[in-house]
Amino acid sequence: MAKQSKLDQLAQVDLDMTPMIDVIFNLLIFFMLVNRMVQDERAELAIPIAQEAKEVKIQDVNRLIINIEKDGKINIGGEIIPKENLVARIAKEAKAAPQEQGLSTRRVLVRGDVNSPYKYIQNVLWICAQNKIYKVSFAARIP
Amino acid sequence: MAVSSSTKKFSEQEIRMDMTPMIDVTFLLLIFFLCTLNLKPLEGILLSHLPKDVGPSSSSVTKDPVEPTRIMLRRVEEPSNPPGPDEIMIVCDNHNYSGEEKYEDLHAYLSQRASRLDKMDVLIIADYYDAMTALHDVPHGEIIAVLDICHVINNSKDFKDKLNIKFHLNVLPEGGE
Repeated sequence: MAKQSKLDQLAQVDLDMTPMIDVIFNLLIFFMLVNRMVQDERAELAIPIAQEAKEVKIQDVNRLIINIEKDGKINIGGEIIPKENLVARIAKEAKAAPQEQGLSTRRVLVRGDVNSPYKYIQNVLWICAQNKIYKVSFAARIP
Repeated sequence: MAVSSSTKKFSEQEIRMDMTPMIDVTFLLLIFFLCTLNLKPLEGILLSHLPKDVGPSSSSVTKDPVEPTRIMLRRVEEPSNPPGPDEIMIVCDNHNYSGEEKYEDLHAYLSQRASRLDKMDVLIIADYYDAMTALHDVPHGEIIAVLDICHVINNSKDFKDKLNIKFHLNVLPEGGE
């Protein structure tokens, strides 16, 4: 009888999978969202290679990523910004960041296509400078 | 009564979902996302600063006693596909560099000049417009290559943080065209 009850107890040791499934689903949703966000922020461009490019590991929330395509199209966060709206958009971004000595602390990362004519890049730099954004960096691929 | 209770017990035992395939699929998806997240090519940044005061005569470099080293990028040939090595000429302090080894030559010149100065201002001018030839539009990749050379020198042991790299910003016509 005693043996029988021990066997019954052993048979009842059921592993509760619910928390594990919850964790896995949360992780899955996190990775799906992060993947989507990275794709939105960084458009598919041929980024130039630079030996001295520094890898940025921490996601900087104060950094605005401006993608400039080969034909001059400006893409911010997966959205194509018409030329006439670009000044207003950058001005809005500049004002959203805290000001320091009359200058915006907003950082801008210019992701230009390797074959994009400089006039398009310069137009963005000019608008940034006009809106007191001076912390500008360029995206480059690490060789 | 006895029959109904046993039926109930039986049905309770039967309704059990097998979670194994779902967990398998979820794990596979998780592994897939973990892998693809790092598959993108490594991308870094090249730091640069714009002038803090903008305007046609606002370059702070002009106020400095030592004349800045001006690196001008000029298009000298019509764009071709693939781009030829002579399409873009680099003019630095009256020295012209073109062809396959223009970057090596520029690096050598800048290193030589940096060795003679305590601090060196470098002004990258890529917005030069030649009205005679009407050739402009230097590709972005060329500017990054020049900026990279400046950073290589600036980060080298001999010239650590000696260079002050800036971009020249001309007043652009409407729409930046």
